[in-house]
Amino acid sequence: MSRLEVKGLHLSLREGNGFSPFVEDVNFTVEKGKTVALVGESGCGKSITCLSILQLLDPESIRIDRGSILFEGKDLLTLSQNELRQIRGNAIGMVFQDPLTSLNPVFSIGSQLVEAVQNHHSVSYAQAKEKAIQMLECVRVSRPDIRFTEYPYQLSGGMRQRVMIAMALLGEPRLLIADEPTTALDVTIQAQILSLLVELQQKMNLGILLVTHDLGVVAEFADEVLVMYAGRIVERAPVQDLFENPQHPYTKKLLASVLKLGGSR
Amino acid sequence: MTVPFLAELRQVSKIFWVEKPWIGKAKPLYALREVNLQIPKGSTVGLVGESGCGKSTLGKVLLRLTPHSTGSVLFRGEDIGSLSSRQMRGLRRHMQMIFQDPYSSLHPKRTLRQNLQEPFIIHNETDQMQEKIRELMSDVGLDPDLLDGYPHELSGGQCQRICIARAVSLRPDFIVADESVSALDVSIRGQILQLFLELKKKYQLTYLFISHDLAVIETVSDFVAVMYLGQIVEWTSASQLFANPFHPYTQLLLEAIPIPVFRPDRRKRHHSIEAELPDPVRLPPGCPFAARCSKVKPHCLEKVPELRNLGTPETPHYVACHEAS
Ligand SMILES: Nc1ncnc2c1ncn2[C@@H]1O[C@H](COP(=O)(O)OP(=O)(O)OP(=O)(O)O)[C@@H](O)[C@H]1O
Ligand SMILES: Nc1ncnc2c1ncn2[C@@H]1O[C@H](COP(=O)(O)OP(=O)(O)O)[C@@H](O)[C@H]1O
Ligand SMILES: [Mg+2]
Ligand SMILES: [Mg+2]
Repeated sequence: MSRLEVKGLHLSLREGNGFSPFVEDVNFTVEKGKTVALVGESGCGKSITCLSILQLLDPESIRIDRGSILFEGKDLLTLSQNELRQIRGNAIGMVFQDPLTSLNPVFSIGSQLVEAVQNHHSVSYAQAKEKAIQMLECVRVSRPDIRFTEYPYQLSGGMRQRVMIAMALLGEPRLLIADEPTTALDVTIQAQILSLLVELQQKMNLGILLVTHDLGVVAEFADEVLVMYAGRIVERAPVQDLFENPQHPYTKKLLASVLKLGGSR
Repeated sequence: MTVPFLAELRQVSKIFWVEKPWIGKAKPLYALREVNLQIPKGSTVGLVGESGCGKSTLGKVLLRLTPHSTGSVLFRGEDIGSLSSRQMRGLRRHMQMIFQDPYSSLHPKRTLRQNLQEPFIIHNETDQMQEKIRELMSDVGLDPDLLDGYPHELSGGQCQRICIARAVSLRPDFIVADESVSALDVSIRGQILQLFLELKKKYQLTYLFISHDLAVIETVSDFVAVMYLGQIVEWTSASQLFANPFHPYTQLLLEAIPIPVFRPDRRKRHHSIEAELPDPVRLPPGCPFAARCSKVKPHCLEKVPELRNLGTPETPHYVACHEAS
C-alpha cells in the first residue's frame, strides 16, 4: 500500500460569488521511503494541493470538489475534523512554506517543541525536552540548550525554518509534506537537512512530498518528480528521466530557465 | 570634505546576552565580532554566509535598527552611534531595509495605498503624495489600480514590489535588502533582481544585498563579503570571488550548490558533508571555521586569522585564513 495516493483531485477557488476550477485532475502516489518532488512556477497550485491533503484550506475561499486522498489506504476526505486532528502532526507531518510566521511568537521555542512531542507520546516533560533538544541538534541548530529557552524573534530566519522542520519530525510522521522547506537556508545547511531527511526516510520508511523551486535539490534528492502547470500535473517521471529526457515543453522550459552561476562553474 | 564610503563598520561587535538554562547566568553570544566593512557609494555589496552567522544583525546594525556593542558605525562619514534619536529620525529616511517576507512587512489590514502613504506621513511630506505614489507603482511595474486592494490579494512577487516601492518612496541613498528574493521562485526572482538593478540606476542607490544564495549575489553584486560565525572571512570584487575563491568556507559554499543534473552517485556526496556546529557562545580560540575545514593545520586552532590582502592594492582580495595564499 502506498503512503499517499491522490486520485482525481479537483480544487476550486472563490471568484466573486461562485467558485471556478483551478486544480484539475491531479493524480500521484508517494510510496514508503520515497521522495516525490512537486515543481512548477509560482501560483500554479502547489501549496493549495499540499494543504488540501490535510484539509487545511479555508473553505470560504478554496473548495475540494472531487477526488480521493488515500493515506495508507484510508480516504482522508471522509474523516471527521477530530480524526484529522489526530493525524496532523502525528502520522502526517507538515512543514509550511512560511516559516517566519508559522511559529507562535509568544511561546518559547522549547515549549512549542515539547508540545509537539507530548501530542504524540505520553512522556514526562524532561523526556520530551531531551527529545526536542536532540532533534534541534539533528537539524543543525547550534547551542540547542540555549535556543530551547529562546523566543522566535531571537532566532535567525534560517534557524526558525529548522525549528519548524524539527517540530514536524518530532511527531515521528510516516508521511512528511514539506512546502519549500529550505528556502531560508544556505546550501551547506540545506544539504545537511536534506541528508537528514534521507536518513530518516531509510530508517522509518518515511514518504516525502517535497515542494521546491530548486531543480538542483530535485536532481539530488527526489525519486520521482511531478511538474505542475496552471493547476495540472503536466509531467510525472522518475527523476533521471525527467532531467535526461523531459517530455512536456513546459518542463523543458523550466530546465532551461535555471539561474546559473557563471564564472567558476 | 569627500566621503569615500557611504556606510562603514569599524571594529564592530554585537553581543546578545543569552540565558544559560538552570544556571541562569547570562552569557554573551557574539553575533558580530570585530567586523570591518566599507560600502562605497553607488555600489552593491553582497553579503553571504551560513544561516545564523550574523548577516541580518550586520544589516540592522548598519542602519542602527539595533544598537551595536563596540566599535563604530559610520554613515556618510559620520558616527551614527552617538546620534540622539531625534537626529537619527532625520537620517532614517536616507536608509531603508527590505525584508525576506514581504507580507509581514506590510500592514495586512490597510490598503496598499495606505501602506505606501505611511512613510510620507511619518516624515511630513504629504505634498503631491498621490502623484508620487502612482509614480512609485509604475517604477516597480505595478498597475495603480491595485492600490485600493490589500496585501493578501497579491502574489509574493507583487507584494515584494510594494515593499520595494515603499522603501524607495523617500528617495533614500542606502538600502539593505535582507533575503529579499529568497522566498520567491526562480522566474520571479529574476524579475525582482532586475527591478533592484533598474531602481539603483534611476535613484543612484547603494545596496547591501544579503542573501544565502550565491547565484543571486553574483547577479547583483560589485563586491562580496563572506561571513562565518560573526566574522568576515573573505572580501573582494564579485568577479574575483567567483572566479577565484580563497577561503575554504567560500569554496565549500560553491561546491555545495546542488546542480540540476541527475547523477547516479548523488546520494554519496552528502555523506561527506558532516560538520561540527559553530557555536556563537563559546567561540573557538582559533579560526572560526577550523572545526569544519579540510585544510586545517595545528596553528589554525590557536590563532584567529586576520583579514590579509592577497590581491593587489588596486584590486584587493582580503581573506582571513592562515593557509590561503
Ligand atoms: N534579538 C536577538 N536576541 C538574541 N539573539 C539574537 C537576536 N537576534 C539575533 N540573535 C542571534 O544572533 C545570531 C545572528 O543572527 P542573524 O539573524 O544576524 O543571522 P543571519 O546570518 O541573518 O541568519 P539567517 O541566514 O538564518 O537569517 C544568531 O545566533 C541569532 O540567534
Ligand atoms: N488562502 C487562499 N485563498 C484564496 N486563494 C488562494 C489561497 N492560497 C492560494 N490561493 C490561490 O491559489 C492559486 C495557487 O496558489 P498556490 O497553491 O499558493 O501556488 P504555488 O504554491 O504553486 O505558488 C493562486 O491563484 C493563489 O492566488
Ligand atoms: Mg507555494
Ligand atoms: Mg537573516
